[in-house]
Amino acid sequence: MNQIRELRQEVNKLKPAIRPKDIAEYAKLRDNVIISFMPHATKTTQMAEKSWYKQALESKDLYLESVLYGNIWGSLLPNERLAIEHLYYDNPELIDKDTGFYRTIHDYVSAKREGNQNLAQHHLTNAIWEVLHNSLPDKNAITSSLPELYYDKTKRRRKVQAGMLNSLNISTFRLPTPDYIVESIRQRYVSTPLEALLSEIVFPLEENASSIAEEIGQINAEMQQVLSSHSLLGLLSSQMSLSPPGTKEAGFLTRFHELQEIWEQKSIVSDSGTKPEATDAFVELTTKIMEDVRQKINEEIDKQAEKGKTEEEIIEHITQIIQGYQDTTIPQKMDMLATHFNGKLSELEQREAGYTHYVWRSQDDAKVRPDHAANDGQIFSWDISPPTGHPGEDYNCRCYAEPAFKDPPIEPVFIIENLIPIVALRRIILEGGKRISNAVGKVFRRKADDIAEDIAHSRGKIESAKKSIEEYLGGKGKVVRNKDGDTVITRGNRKVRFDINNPKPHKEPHFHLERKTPSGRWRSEGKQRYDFKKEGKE
Amino acid sequence: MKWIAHINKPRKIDFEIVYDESVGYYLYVYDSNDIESKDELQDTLEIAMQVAKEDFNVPIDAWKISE
Repeated sequence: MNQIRELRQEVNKLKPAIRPKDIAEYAKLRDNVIISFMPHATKTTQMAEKSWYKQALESKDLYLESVLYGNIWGSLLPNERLAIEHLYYDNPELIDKDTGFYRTIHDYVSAKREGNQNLAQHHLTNAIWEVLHNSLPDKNAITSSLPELYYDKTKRRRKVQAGMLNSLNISTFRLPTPDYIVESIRQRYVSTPLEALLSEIVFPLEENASSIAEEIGQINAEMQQVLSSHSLLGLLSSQMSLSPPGTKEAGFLTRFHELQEIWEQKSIVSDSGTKPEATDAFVELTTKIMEDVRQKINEEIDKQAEKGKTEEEIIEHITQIIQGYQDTTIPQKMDMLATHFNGKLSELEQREAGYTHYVWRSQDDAKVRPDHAANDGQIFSWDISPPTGHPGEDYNCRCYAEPAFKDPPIEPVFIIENLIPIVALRRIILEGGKRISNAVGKVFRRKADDIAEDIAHSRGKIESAKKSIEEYLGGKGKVVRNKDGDTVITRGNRKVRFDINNPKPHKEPHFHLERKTPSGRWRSEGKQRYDFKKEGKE
Repeated sequence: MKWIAHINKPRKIDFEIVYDESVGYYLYVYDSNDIESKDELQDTLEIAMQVAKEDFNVPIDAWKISE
C-alpha cells in the first residue's frame, strides 16, 4: 500500500498551506506588474473605463431585453436570464434570432404562459440541447453520442453543484498566462470605444508588453516548479495554463469568474494597488477550493479501495478523473445551463412525475443566503412559491428541490434514446432497415417484430417501440448500461437486454427477453435471443 | 473479474463468466460447432456457475479465475 500512502500524502499536501500562500504571493507580484503601469492609468482613465463598462452593460441590456428577447424577457426566471446573459458574452451566435435556442426558448415561455407544463419541459430541454448541439465543433462527427451525453448530463444535473464534478472542475482552476495578462491589459485600455482618449497610455503599454510577458512568465514558471515537485500536484498544475476566459477552448470555470471578479473589481481598480481585503477574499476562496479538491479525491480513493481496486488501478482512476475534465467545453456549458435552468427543469420534471411538494435543499456552505438557509429541509408546494422563489430561481441560487417522497420512481423522465445506443440504431437504420424475425411463439414474435419494425423505420416510431417494451415489462423499467454501453431494462421479474455494442459470442446485434425464476435464475422467454436480420429475410 | 472453464465432451465448449459491476455476471458459452453458443446475464456468480452446471454439466470446481 505504499503507493496509496504516497498518493494520500500528496493529496494531503493540497492543503491551503501550499497553494493560497503561493497564489497570494503571485497576486502581489502580479499587482506589482500592473501597478508599475498604473501611473498611466490616471483617475481620468479609470472614470472613462467605468463609463465604458456602464455603456457595455447598457448595450447588453438593450440588446437582450429589447431587441432579442423583449417579448419574453420578463417571463424568464432570474437564473434563466443569467444563463442567456452568459451565452451572450460567451457564445452570442448561439442565442441570436436564427438559432434553435431562440426559437425553443420562446416556445418554452409560450407553453409556460399557457400552463402546459409538459410542453414547457419539452421546449426547455430542447433549448438546452440546441446550445449543446450547436456549440459542438463538428456536429456530424459526434451526433451519435449526443443523446447519451445529454441524458447523462441531465441525470446528474441535481448533483452538479454539490458533487465531484464541480469540485474537480474547480481543480482545473488556471493561472493567467503572460499572453492573457497582456491581452487583458490591451483590451482594457486599447480595444474600447475610448481608444483615442486613452492613446496616451496605449503606446507605453504596447512598448512594454514583452517585458510584462517575460516577468509574468517567470512568475508562472516558478509556480509550476513548486507545484510539479509533487506528482499529483504536478498533474493538477499541468491544467493550470490558462486560455483567456470567454474562449471556447478555455478551461475557465464558474469559480474562475468569482476569482476574476474579486481580483479585478476589488484589486486592480484600486488607486493604491492590491486592497488587503481583496487578497484575503482571494486566498479564502482558493483555500476552499483546495480543501474541496483534497476531500473529494480522498473520498474517491476510499471508495475505490472499498471496491477492492489495486493501488495501480486507484491511481489510474484518480488520474483519469482529473484528466477527464481537461476537455471542459461541454461540462462547463452544461454546468452553466444546469445551474441556471435547474430550478425550472426540476419543477417541470417533478410535476410531470406527480410530485406536488419538494424538500428545499441548500449547499450547506457559508455562501448560502440566510433566507435560503432558513428554507433548508423544509417542505414546500410547487403551487405556492415561498417569498424566496423556488430553489434555483434567484440569481446564482445553487439550492435544489428534492422530491418530497421517500421512494420516487426510478426513471421519472424516460428518454427513449437510452433504450438502444444511438450508434447501433443508426447502424441498423443505415443498413437498410432490419427487423427481428424467427421469434418462437406468437406473443414474443409479435413483440420482437414490433420493436424491430419500429426501430428500423424511423425515430418517430421509437415511441411505440418504447410502448412495446413497456408492455412486455408491464410498465417503465429501470434502465442500466453495462460497461460496453449496451442497455439492460429491468422491471420486477422481467428483463429486456440489448447486446448491440458487444454481441459476443455471436456476431450480430441481438436482444433478449427474460424472466426470473423462483430460484433466482434469469431464463430466456421464447427464443434464447432475438437477432436483427435484414428486411425480407426470415 | 473473469472466470473460465472448458469441457471436451461431447465436444469442445469454452465458458466464460465476466463480471460487469453495473448489471451482474455475463455467462458466455462458446461452442466449437456454434450449436449451443449463447450468453446469459445472471445476478450472482453462484447462479451463473449453476447455470453452466445445469445446462452443460460444468463442475463448479472447474472454474478458474482468469483476470
